Amino acid sequence: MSVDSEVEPRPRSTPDLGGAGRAATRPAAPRSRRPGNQFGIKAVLSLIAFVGLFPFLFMLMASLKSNQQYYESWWLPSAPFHFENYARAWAQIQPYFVTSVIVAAGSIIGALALCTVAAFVFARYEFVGRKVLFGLIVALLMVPGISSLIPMFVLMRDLDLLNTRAVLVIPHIVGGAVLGTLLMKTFVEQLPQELFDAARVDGASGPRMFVSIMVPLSLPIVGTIALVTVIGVWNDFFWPLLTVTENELRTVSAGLQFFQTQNATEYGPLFAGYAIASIPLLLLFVFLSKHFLAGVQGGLSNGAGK
Amino acid sequence: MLRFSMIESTRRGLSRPRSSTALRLAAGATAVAVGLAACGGGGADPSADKTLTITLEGPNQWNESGSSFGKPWEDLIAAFQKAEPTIKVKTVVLPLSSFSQTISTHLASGTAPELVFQQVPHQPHMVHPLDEHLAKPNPYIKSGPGSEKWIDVFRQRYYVQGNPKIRNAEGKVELVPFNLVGIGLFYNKEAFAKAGLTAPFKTFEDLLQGCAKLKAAGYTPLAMDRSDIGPEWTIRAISGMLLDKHVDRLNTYTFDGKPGKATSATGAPAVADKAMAKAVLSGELTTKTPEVAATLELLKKMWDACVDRNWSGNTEGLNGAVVGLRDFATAKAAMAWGVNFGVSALQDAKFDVASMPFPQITAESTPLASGAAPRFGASIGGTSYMIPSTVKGEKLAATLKFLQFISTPEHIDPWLKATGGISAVEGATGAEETNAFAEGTWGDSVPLEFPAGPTSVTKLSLVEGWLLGTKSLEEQQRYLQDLWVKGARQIVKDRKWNDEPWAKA
Amino acid sequence: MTDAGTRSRRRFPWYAYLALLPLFATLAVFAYYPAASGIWHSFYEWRPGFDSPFVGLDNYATMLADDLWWDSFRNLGVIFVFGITVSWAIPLLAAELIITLKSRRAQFFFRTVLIAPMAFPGVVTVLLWAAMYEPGDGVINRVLRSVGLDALAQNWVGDPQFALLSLLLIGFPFVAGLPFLVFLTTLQNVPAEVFEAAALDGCGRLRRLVSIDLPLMMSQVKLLVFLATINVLQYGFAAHLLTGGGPDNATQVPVLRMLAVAFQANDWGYAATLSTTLFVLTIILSVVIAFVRREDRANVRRL
Repeated sequence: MSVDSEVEPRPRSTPDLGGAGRAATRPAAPRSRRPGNQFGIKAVLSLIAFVGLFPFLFMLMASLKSNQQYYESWWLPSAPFHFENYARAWAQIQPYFVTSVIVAAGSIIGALALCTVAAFVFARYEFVGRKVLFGLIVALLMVPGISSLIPMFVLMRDLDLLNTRAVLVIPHIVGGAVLGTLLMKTFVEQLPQELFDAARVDGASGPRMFVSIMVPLSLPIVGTIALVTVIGVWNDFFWPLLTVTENELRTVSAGLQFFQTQNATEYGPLFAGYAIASIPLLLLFVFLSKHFLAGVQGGLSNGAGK
Repeated sequence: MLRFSMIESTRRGLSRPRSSTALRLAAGATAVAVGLAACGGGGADPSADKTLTITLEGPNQWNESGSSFGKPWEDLIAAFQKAEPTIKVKTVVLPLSSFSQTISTHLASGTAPELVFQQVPHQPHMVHPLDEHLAKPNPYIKSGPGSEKWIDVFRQRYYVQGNPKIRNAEGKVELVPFNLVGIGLFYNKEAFAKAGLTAPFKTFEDLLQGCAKLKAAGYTPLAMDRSDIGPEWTIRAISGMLLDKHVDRLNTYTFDGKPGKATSATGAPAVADKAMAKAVLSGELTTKTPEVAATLELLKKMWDACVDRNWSGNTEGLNGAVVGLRDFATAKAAMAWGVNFGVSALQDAKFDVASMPFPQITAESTPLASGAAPRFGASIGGTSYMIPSTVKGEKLAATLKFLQFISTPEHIDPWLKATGGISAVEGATGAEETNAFAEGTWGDSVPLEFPAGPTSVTKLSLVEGWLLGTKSLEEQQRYLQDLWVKGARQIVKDRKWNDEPWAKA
Repeated sequence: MTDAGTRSRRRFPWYAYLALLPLFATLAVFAYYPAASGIWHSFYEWRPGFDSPFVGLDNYATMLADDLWWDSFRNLGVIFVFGITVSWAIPLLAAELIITLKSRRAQFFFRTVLIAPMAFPGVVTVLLWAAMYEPGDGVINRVLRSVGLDALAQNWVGDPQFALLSLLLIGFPFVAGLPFLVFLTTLQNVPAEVFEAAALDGCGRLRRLVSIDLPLMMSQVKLLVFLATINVLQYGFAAHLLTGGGPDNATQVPVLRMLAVAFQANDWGYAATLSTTLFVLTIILSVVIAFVRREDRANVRRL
């Protein structure tokens, strides 16, 4: 009947991005023959993590250099350290932070509002046209970004939305909603049927199940979508530059572009700027990581209680 | 995993304008440090009843601010607003990395403001032809050139009169220059002294031998990166000399597109675009033409002798002012192509910088040498602006006033001096340290050079395989011939020359 | 609400459609309309701010004869194979290692650290890798030279032989991405008893990977393959920033060609033709893949 019919020793545990859910259902099973502290595994993982983070260590290194130092050796630290690069970078991007935060928040809220409901309906209801409608959403993934760029720009022009914050938010809502619907539908389909059955026996309606079962259980995926959306906002500089010519309405990513000048790219301040711009993302990242866990555990105990 | 929008940026700092030589923006020597302090333009608005705002949109050529081109620019605007209290000029600053796509999209969609930077891909229907206005007096010039016809104030050698190639595909003038740009070879004086060389090199052979000596002294002779402009400028210099003997033969159309000889107002013959398209499509100029093959061979010779083996992997610090800036600025390389304003990018260098023209190609290098002098040093194109065709009525009149104001010698001179610019108008002296770029035969335009490929193909890709040694001469000739024909076909289509007998497929 | 079950079995539950309405209304205006407009204008000499002459199939005829366009597809095969093998191998390894860890704290720590690079903007990643690839000063060549492997030091992005591979390796070890999260989530959802039983049967680690873990992941992997296919046809971000299709066209891809036609040649109608073609090709490929993953039927569970 479904994918999990191949292996069904007992009801599936709740999908979990955080890793804590499993612990709740599977108390520390002895899987490794050799106890110890699994030093080898940790070493390999550390190596992978180091290689992954390695470029960003150099970003920090380069952010403290003058161009001359950067040209001489961009990766070895060299004195004097130009901490003033951070002051310059902050002065450059500080005016744009407000817009970036508003755009990111608006995009997340918009995308989540649209995709959670849609994913719930797609995953838990059967109705005529379900496959076709879902296919229509999947098809949007196949449209090359550039083919919609100019029509989208012309549309915004005709709707008189150029030079507003709405014009910055809308594409991210659309992108987030499409990706979000896909991810969340897959996720919700794998939620244990027992939860919904139990709720139905208790007389819960569709909306009620949506609010009390799906939303809490899908917090990890909500976190993922939020993160992906924020990263999208933080990455995108071409659309903001294209649609917004009022300096006050520009985003951080657009503002950072100005360090590449006619004569030379100002690497120190540029990397310092990216480092500063990464801080909110990292904070969010750490925060959401914890949230994954809390959300899953909370959702589980609620679900198990019924 | 995540979808990213593909158009996020152009290659760093590089743009590929439609027709003119790559990016030769002008940047300020003194204005670099003038940053955020000067935001906000004119400040308080004198709340006059009928204040008209015109907006100018262009890349930031002078500093890293997102809101101002710097103090000298604000002063220029303030002077204009004082002269015309009912007009307010607003500046929209775009970053260098993506201004080209931004402006060309604005132009194409009809949302461009009153003035846009000229070096962006565009088509004639998107901008106002200025010919009619240029034939009328410039109201800010009371006497002398320009007082009867605006066009007279510009330096003839560089503007349309002397260089008709800056007309657009419909034969119209569409741009007004704020300054000129000069191109040359920068060199490191210490490196030259160490290698026992005296600049400038007189002949191409001197250059090759000089490269050998510089190599022996531990330098990369010529800095190079993977931008379009290094190979492009070298080809223009070499082919401009070698192809000189074909100018007369291929000069078959006037600049108006009528059969006849094209000559610039300075009297020099030149091959117009239409004659060029004909030469390519009729096979009068092919990659098998001996001088074309010789150009390719000398280019390769120069690359092998002067350029670092790994030049094509140098993606660092691409910019519009100095080719291979990092290697030159760190004294790793001894020479570099650059524009006059590149001086400011080199101000932190720990050695003395000077500049020279490209050397002459003599019979020593190839029996096909023509004896023509090296040319193409200076041109319009540093900071030039156009008026989109969607601008009409009062706004158009106000915009024209602004352009007339900035082409008035006494009004533009302070800005030129402050930004290290070369004057585009007669009677303004500009900045002393850069004027030499526009002097002598080196300052002339090239009458005939390699034809262009299709606009959708980078100039670098036309010769990259040949320079890297992945294509033999014969393969390169076949490859380039194909792209020349494609480029000529595109021009024929764009300019509707399909009915010419030579344009038939 | 006792009839909730029967109601949901209706073929046309109005509330389901109503709930989908906001999403589809938004998509209609801001996704379907622009996409359709792009397709529509591929039949025009498109001048968005001005009048656009209808040219019928001219743009498509141009495309058929455009060898630069068709040549740009040459590299896609390599990109696809790389995308579903090399760039999944390390994420899979990392996911396996993490679930093998006994300490939850360690699991959480490594998972967080491994996906942390997601928080850095893609542009910076490319910029930094470009610096690492520098033939003279770049870290990669310096390291190779310092351990005596001078022969392996290359002109990474500047040599037509290595340029494409170098671009593909940007972002190595590829752990900070969707595939890793998918692998990890799937493995964590495998009931402990399965692994325990496998261990009791003396099933080795590798054996378990092949005979248990991978089959369990199949349905998720199919989704990843589907996304990878789409990504391959739209590949071009790093090439756009770093090589522009060079050296000597070694990294040319359809998207770059499309960008060049749009932004360098300013030929929006033709660019629309190219993107429409790419869209159609993507759909065809997706349908093919859908046939391959035939057994993955709709798995709706009724409420």
